[in-house]
Amino acid sequence: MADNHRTLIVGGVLTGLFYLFLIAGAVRGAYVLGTAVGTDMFTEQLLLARTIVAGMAIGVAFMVTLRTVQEYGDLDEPAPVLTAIPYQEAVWGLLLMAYIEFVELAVVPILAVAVAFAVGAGSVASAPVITVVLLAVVALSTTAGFVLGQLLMLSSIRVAFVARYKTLIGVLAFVAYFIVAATGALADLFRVDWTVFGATPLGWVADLALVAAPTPSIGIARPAAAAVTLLAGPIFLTWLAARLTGAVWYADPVQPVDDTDDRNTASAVGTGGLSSGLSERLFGGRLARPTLRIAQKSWRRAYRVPLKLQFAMWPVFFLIVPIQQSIEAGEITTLLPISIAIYGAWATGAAFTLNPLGDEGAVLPLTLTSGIRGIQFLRGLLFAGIAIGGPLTVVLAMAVGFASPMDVFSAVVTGMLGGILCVSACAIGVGVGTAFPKFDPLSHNNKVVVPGMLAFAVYSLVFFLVLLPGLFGSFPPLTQWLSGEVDVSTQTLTLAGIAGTTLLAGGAGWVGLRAAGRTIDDYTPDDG
Amino acid sequence: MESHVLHHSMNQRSSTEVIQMVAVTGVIGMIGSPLVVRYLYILFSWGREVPMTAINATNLTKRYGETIAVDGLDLTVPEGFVYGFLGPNGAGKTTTMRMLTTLMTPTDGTARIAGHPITEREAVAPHVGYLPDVPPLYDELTGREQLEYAAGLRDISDAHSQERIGTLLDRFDLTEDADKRISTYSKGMKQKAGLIQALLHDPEVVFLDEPTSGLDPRAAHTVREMIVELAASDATVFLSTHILPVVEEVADRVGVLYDGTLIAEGPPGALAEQADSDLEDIFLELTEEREAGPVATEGNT
Repeated sequence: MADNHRTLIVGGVLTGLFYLFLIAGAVRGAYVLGTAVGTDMFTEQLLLARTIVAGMAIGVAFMVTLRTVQEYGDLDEPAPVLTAIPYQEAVWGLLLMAYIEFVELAVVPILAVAVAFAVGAGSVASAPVITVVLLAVVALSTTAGFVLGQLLMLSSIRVAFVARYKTLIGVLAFVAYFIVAATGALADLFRVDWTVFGATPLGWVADLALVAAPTPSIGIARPAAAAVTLLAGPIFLTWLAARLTGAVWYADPVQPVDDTDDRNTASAVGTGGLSSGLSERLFGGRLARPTLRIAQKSWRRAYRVPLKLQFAMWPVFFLIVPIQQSIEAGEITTLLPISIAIYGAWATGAAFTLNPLGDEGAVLPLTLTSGIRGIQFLRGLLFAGIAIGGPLTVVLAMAVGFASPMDVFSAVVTGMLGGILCVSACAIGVGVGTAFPKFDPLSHNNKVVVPGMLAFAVYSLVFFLVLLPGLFGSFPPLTQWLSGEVDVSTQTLTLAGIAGTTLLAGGAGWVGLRAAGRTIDDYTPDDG
Repeated sequence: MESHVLHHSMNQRSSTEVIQMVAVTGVIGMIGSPLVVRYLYILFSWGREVPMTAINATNLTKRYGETIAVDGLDLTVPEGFVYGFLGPNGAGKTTTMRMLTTLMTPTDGTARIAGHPITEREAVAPHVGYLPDVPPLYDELTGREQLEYAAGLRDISDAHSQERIGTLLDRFDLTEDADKRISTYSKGMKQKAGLIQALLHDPEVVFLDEPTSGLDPRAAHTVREMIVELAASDATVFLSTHILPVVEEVADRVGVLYDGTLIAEGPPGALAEQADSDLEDIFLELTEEREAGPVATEGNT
């Protein structure tokens, strides 16, 4: 109980700090914009404000889209609800829930921004106007995101091709997005987008928010168009959301033909079972059976619900700059191998280990009463990540290192660092994931539960602390700078760095694994 | 002749001596008899299987703040018994099962499963099979994958688990659906998969929370048969259900829990005989009496 409190306090403090940091930035921006009112700078600042508001609206819509696919788009208990009220009312309820969740997060920054602008501009009336307008923007984004999410859900249910290849489509979409981002096309694309949105009612929302400010720069037409959009948009999108959601809930789904769903071979014992795949041939008999089964189970669940791996995808943006640099330079830069080692380990740790307890859902009683020790259960999750992420990271980082101007020693060290970090990241992941579990609110849920954002944030923080010495020793610009400062050869620094990171990685991993193992051994789900 | 001798010898002793002799003999007899009986019992049962206690709970209590979910439960279930655990919704049946399966820590009291204290999960686990009210299955796996996973968790050899899984899938008519995803299963199919999972490792004590829930009559019949077979093979079944005819049919002993207190216990036949009625009437009578006010009625507590 005391541990739970400590965990909550630590989590709360970290979230609070992050939140404060964001608010501070927004407040400063709003104040600067306010002080620009009545000056020549204001027109330029207004363009920026339009961009920010449009960006915020799109960002919220994107997050709501994701959350709709994950959670918002479905009722926890459809039968009793849909037999009691019309489905449209249920959809309104879901939309309201989504809106309230985002408003809970946004209301403080919105108020702070409104007050900061009002103070900067010396216009008291601006504060309530900005608040109301920005809350309306959240409503527009929520409904738009919900509609997009349900569109995705509908296509995955009704379109046979999408239903069959949704995993592949998701991966390809992500890769395409990544390539666009890495080649710099994303920036161009965004610039185009901003221009487009700035010249639409979505961008003019900024004009509406600032309509109370004493400046002739804010005309009448743009704020009026924005007001109509903010009023009519959510109403139309709510209607559309209800229609789409009804289609998702009631339409006959196109059954995906899955490789493990072959009814013709169902009678053959072992067909499609855990004990008949490639992993069994590779690791069967070499690894403890419980460890292998847990890993196999994790791989199959992730393959079938790739959303489970979303936190392994997030750090991929860490690679964008080094890849971009390499493309621009026409050769692989020395930054790329170390970036691959870091990303590989970061993603490996985030893939399977960040929610050991919560992801078990209703299966937790089976796990706990199976007699398996906590540490052995975690070994299975660790293996699931390391077996795939470890070799990939080491080989890729080394290969890219050899192809770069990096010397052979540094390339090997980089690969080794990646390998060590992969193991440590997984161990840190289970430690953090057990301390910050995310449970489905439904105790009888048997579906995948994606780890919490807090667990990912804390895990990333610990991971980078562990990484720091290695980074100083392996990241060429840092190593060269430090070498000059302390008058030690870069190779010595590299070795010292990797030794430091190895030590920290071992320590943090050991602590994480031990703590998580003990927590699971003593865990009684029903005691709360 | 003998009576004459006795009469003669008594005549030779004073009445005080006789009283003293009778008193001493009586005291020795009172102390000695149980010892003799115990001695003879041990002598005759030497080398035989002595019936073990599969479940033994003493003063088992669970409190949530001011609310008492289970109140000082004393329970003894011998090996090979089917124990029908009855009670209205919210009586504390699931809480009791969760404590006995180590998933919940009692606020007070102790319990042992197959001789192992419930505070030692690792020791208890190999002896226990548990089907909770919600079958613990992953939606994304197929039935076969799920069962292989459960067998793997318990480190059951592949050959043995494949054979056992095959047999149980056949038994519950689930073979054809074994390679379909659990997310496509009906409630009854999930229940069957959960039950197979609970029995995979041949547990000595099986806890079943509403095992026939969602099952069609044929599958429910298979479950009843399975329970009887389990008991015949010396496994103990702790069965919580609302379907009283099931309990009446298979249980050796029935316990009725109300507001966390065991208000009646005994063989189903004896309980029914006592009220000249069937188990359903007994259940209704007991719980209605409790609703009205505290009563002392107990079957065989």
